[in-house]
Amino acid sequence: MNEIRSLTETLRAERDDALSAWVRLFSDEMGREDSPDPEDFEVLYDALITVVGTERWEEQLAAIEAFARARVAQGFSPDETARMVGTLRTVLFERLGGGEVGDLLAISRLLDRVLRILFEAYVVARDELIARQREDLLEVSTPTMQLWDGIVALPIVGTLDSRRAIAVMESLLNKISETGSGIAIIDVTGVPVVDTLVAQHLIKTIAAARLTGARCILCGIRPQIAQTMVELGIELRDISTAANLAAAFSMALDLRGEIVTAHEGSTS
Amino acid sequence: MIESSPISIVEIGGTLVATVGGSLDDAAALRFQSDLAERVAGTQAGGVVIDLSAVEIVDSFIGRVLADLSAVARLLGARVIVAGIQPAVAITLVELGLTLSGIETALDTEQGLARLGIRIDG
Repeated sequence: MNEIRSLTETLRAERDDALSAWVRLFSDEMGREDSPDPEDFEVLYDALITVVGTERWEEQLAAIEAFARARVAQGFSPDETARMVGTLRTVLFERLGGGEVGDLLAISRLLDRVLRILFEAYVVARDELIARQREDLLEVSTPTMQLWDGIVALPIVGTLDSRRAIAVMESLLNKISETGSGIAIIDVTGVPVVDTLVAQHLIKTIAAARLTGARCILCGIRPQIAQTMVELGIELRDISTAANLAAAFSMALDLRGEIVTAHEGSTS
Repeated sequence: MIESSPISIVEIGGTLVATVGGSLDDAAALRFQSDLAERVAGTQAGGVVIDLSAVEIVDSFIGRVLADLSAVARLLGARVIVAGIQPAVAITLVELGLTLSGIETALDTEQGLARLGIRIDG
């Protein structure tokens, strides 16, 4: 207890000198021309003083966690932030070198803990970013569009995993019911692999669309994929298919009994 | 009991239109199945449109009743079209493995009637 208090006092007494030495060492190590913002250093140093000054410092780490999140949010690299902690260790060891071994151990343990918190903060931030991008991708990659009165089309691009399959199904069904379309074209030109699972997802989507009252036309199955599908025993017997989107669209127009003719005097 | 039933069956030009409202419990579903059979036999209707657009929740039992009652109606000489299944309901049915492949479907009642050859002129 006494030891800890004396360490706090030492840290407080050395604050200004230690801070300037720390900033200098850090700038040297990073080899940067511009001097870093001293405020960041003050924040971390003061957080350390608070944490060292309490016996149950495990509970007092909120300030350091906030610091870690701020570093991540400001876009500092993990390397730069880790070096910040490393140089602080050097500076403090130099200054407290003549003191108690217990103090040095306490500082060292605490700085290790700070590093772990920073590491965690970076990983969490990265995970959040990945999750957010996955959501974005999910939305971007499932656009159902209306081609004609009563005809919607859904181009599927990329691998169809279970998560995406559900998003695709919902997007298609909602568009069908929104637009009151009786025909839905599913274009799988952009699907690189069709295995039994993907086929299952497609069959389910088509069955669900049929339940809501829309007829599906599947198009854009590549020759290689068609062969694989047949080898796997997936023949999609009851499902209308067409070679490509153009063929599927013309089939859809036929089903609706619509005829598209060229305008007289058209140049193309 | 009959008053609280969320189902109404009306006859339009030799076709029955059954509208199912709100949540459908097991007892109501079974009653609907027998009521509909009676009405189809009584009116000698050639077609039945079952409007499910107000139904938001289904389970496997309801799915099976739907399949059964259309089979019954077919035996009685009526063509059954289920209309207006909501996207969420369709997904649930498919996930339950009930694709109702023997039943004809339509987007809404109007298109269901059109399928049976009854056109409503606007």
